[in-house]
Amino acid sequence: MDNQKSLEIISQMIADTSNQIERNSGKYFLCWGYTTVAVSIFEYFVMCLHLNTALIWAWWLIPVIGGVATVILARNETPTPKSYVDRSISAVWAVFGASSLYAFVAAVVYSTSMFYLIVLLMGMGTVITGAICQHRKLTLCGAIAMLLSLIFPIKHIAIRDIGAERFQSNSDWLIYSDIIIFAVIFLVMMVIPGHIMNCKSKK
Amino acid sequence: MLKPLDPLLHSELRLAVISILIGVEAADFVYIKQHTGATAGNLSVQIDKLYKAGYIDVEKGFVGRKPRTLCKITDVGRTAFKQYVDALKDYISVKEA
Repeated sequence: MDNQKSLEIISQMIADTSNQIERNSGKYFLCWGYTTVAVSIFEYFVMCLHLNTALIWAWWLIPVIGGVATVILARNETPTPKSYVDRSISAVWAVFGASSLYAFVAAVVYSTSMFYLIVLLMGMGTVITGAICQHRKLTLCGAIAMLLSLIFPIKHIAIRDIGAERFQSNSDWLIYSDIIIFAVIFLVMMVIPGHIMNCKSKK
Repeated sequence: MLKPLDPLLHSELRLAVISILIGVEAADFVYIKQHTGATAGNLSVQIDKLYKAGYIDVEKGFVGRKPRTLCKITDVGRTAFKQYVDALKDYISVKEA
């Protein structure tokens, strides 16, 4: 075996293994992204149409559907070796996922807004994942989501200063628009990069 | 004076196995077989040679009812691979000069 052949083998095997990471990540982003968007749109209509208030518990469908789908997707995967990058990404999402769940529970218990904190945490997770995978578009989408998270406190301050009564009278859509903004940010942060990652790995 | 290339790694299949294992925590026999395109018999022999040299650890177990052989690079293997790549770089730089 000549030296050139040795180099070819080394680079080929290392490239094959690192390509696996991208192939696996896209579907998880799509699964969590689409679940969040669908449940958010459902909740928006529940709020706007003043349907049964018990339907507010449907927010729990996000961790339930997302969690179950993640387990199913992981089980159906062809067994691949776990790299250090895989372990880092898993650790990042375990921490940010648990923090978001905590923010969600705290928001329910103390009746505060959960959107700002959840978007910020998920955006941070996406940026870190993009940086680890060296995926610039994923990093960019996460950074955009982090910036967009500022919409929530800004909107809250604007409504408080202008006067909540003025909005509450006949502008439910404006009050509940937080939910739609939340869905759109998840579309930008998870669904779009998920599709980009899947397209790239299929090529 | 050029360093000699490690004869254990200067074989197509053994080098491919070590190159796979260098980037992962562990890889199972089936994955290595698929990615190297080797036959099961030949791969077993080469894995055994790497194991005896202390370059890799081999763990035999079961996933459900299916047997699974898991390979993991050791510190000795990691050092040997680094030395092999360094030696290779020297050969190439001498050739280019």
